[in-house]
Amino acid sequence: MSVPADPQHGVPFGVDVRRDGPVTTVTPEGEVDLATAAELEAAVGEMPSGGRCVVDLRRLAFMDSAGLRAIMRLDLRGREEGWALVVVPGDGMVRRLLEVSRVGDRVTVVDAPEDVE
Amino acid sequence: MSPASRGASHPLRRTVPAVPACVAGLRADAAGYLAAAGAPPELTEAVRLAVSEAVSNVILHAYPPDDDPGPVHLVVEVSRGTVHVTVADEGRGIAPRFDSPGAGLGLPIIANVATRLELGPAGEAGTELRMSFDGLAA
Repeated sequence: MSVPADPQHGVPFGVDVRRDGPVTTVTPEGEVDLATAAELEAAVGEMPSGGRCVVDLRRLAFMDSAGLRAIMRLDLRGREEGWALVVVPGDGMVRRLLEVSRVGDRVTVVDAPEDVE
Repeated sequence: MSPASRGASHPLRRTVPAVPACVAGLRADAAGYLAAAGAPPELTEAVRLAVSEAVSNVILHAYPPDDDPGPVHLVVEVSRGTVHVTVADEGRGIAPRFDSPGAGLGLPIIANVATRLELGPAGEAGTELRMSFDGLAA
């Protein structure tokens, strides 16, 4: 049996989705990798043109490039369909992953969902 | 056997079928092994990410998508303050693949978080990615 490296480790993957008019907030928890990234991407669902999708990654214990690819595909989808993707990475490993991969330069990143105008 | 009872001087060795569901377990095993070795959180985070990327590369690239998945081998070892991680497959080797899934993010991420990175053939077939990470108190 493994020793969890941090208390958040081992939280099963899940996604909370809240739709409020034009704004959809998607909040995954647990770990995003090759096994779970498609579920994160699919959770966004249909988006209205002119809407905004906030992907709040602050509750994740882990994310790798499978999650980055999901974010980039969602960003591209938003550009094609006329809605905006906003990513909230928090200040932990997800933010460092966005910086290391430079994906943070290509998508809209905010510190908190309420920072979106 | 727990990582603590195994002791950090013995390598962690895992061989599992290369399927998406295996990534989290291998990542957790590597992190648990390093925690037992007294690794600081930032080092454990780097290794956890690198293992995840390297194992995902095997799943995405090593074996033809329609075949039964082949194995992925993980070895994690601590030696004189350095963590050595090897991820190997028995697949089709390093070759251009024009239908490649993924955005080519994995290796650059590993190169960024690891101290050293070496990619080469493994045995008669397959590919081996050798990574090392400084930052463990000797």
